[in-house]
Amino acid sequence: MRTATVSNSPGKWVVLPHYAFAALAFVALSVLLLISTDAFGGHYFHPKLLTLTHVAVLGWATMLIFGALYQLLPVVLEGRLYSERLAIYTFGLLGTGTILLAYAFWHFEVGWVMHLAACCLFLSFLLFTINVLQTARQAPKWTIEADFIVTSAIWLLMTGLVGLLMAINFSVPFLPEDHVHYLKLHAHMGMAGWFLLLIIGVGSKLIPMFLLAHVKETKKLHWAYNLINGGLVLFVFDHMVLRMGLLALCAALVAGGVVLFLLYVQAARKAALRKDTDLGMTQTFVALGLLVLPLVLVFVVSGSGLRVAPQLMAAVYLVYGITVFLGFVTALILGQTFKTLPFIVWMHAYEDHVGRFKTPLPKDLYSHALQRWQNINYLLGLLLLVAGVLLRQQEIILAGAIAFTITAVLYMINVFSLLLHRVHDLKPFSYGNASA
Amino acid sequence: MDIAATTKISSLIKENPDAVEAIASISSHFEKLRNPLLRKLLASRVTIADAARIGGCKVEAFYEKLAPLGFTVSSSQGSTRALTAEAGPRPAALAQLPPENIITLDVREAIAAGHDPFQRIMGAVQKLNSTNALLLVNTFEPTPLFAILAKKGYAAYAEVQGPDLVHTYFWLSGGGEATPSETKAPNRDFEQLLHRFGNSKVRSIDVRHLEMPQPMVTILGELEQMPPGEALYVTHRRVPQFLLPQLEERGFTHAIREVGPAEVHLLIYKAT
Repeated sequence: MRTATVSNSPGKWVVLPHYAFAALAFVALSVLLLISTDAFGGHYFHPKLLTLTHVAVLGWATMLIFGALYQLLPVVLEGRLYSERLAIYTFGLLGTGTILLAYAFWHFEVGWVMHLAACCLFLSFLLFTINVLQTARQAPKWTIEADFIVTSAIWLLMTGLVGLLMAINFSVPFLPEDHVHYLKLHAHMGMAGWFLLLIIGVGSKLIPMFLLAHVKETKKLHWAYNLINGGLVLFVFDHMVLRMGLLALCAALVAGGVVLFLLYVQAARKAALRKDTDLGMTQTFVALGLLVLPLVLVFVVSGSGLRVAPQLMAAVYLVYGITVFLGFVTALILGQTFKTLPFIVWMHAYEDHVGRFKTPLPKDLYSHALQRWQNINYLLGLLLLVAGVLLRQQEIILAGAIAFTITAVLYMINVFSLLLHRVHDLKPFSYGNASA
Repeated sequence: MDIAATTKISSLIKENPDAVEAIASISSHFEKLRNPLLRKLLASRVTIADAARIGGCKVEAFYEKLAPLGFTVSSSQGSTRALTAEAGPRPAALAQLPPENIITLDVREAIAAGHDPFQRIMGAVQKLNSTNALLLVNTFEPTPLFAILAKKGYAAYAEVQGPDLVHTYFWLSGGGEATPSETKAPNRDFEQLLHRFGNSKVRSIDVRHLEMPQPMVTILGELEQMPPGEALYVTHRRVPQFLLPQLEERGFTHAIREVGPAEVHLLIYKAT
């Protein structure tokens, strides 16, 4: 890394292992889905569903977000990452914690394995938060995107803390309420506090960048930030202290924030210099479209609990979780991976050769045909899974799981061919002074 | 291989490992290169011109020693001027500082123990404001740091205390008027530079409509073909974070003019 002294970009050994782990976790997730089709018939508090959820949110989504963020944070904040060593420890703890937690949930062993897993994860989130906070503190430029990212890291830490307390409570009960009560808190802090705020923060910077658009007005983003955080804080306060059942109001605040973000993206699309969208951006817009589903469902689960049959209600709860984690978050990652990873790999491989040799472009480093089939299979899988859960048909769930497995394998092939990319046989340009 | 004053020592060693011995024979100062750690540390950050200054010898001495190894001096050779700290008496900004406002960082042990002190130095530099200065204690004049820190608006002043002891002071110089490189030239300088090159010697490109990394590919492609003495005028959407290190790596200097939130002008040229 000769340019390491002047470039803000972190080393590739900090970033790329996250992508490899996430791709493998996505395959593991889809295989677990194949053998868990029986778990979708009842309540969401089920060992297999807890395993699936945590492999999805930790090993797949959070892992990939951490890796991508170490690369993106210096771009968003225009400063260096605070510590690469801290990032590597964070990676080790997150990876270990995820594997241990998946094992503990699958066999529902609530003893020391789960405690250790929860401690690893909490420590990992703590180190990550320190790294993000310090990076932001030293950054020469503070923007609304930085507010989103820093706040999301703090919500992640709190989500991990509640998770750790619940893990301890399994074997040494000390919390006054039942588990599901805290699970709702844990889940919503993770969904809206961590994933939603982070994705908005990063998305509001990257989407205009990829579209070659500039949106001057950031008022919408400021209000989105206020509404989502306001909704979340009110939710936590109401859930733990007030107990007035203000869930619908909280959901309305969060939904309002999301709508403002979507309007911001719409403004960026209007101002875009680049009108054609590639597969990665199409998939990103599909993900943002899918965001509408959980926003509608949250009103269903918060409002009309009494008038719906309990079995259908249980299914709606499951679909709510699926549309967030396997819907919005997964769809977005499937799209954004191919907007970020090829560029990172390309940069490390070719930055010294550009202009001197004929170099390929980031989009030439992976297969677009596989990516197209990945996107098609993904949508098919999600549709079948949701339909299967609502109709309580295991065969349809299995078909959905198969489509997800194909998606994961295609994704993995593309990601690993990028990670293992080697520079070879570069042809110099014909003009004379390219002898260096 | 063609060499010039701006050629990095690391490029020489990469081309022909015998260059290590050749350079070490020029001056006792360069025996450091035989130490693999110091070589790794310095070679990639130091040009021939920088090295000549550290060793107190002429650039031509390098050319002489390197010629038998198959290195030829580039015909379009740039100047032999290296980035240096201010010479002569202590600058007023430094002399006025009370001793307690000087942060001392001794990196001699770190280097002897085989650690790259770069991050520690940058960490110490972060703490500087307009009221204090950093005293860096090491065994040689840290020439590569001058360029890196000058761009961030820090001035430098070195005092040779002994054969293996150099005190270097860094402090924040208001707006970087002591900046030897023109990297952060303000708008007025940008106009002057543009004027200096004149219409016939400036080639303009607009890369705003291009998707990443096409702007970088286009700019570096243009620069490779640019005749010496000419400049490239680029209209960009933002300050290109990934391009700037590459420009420095390839020996180009640039000036930046931020026109609006989504429009930045760059003037890129080889320093002469």
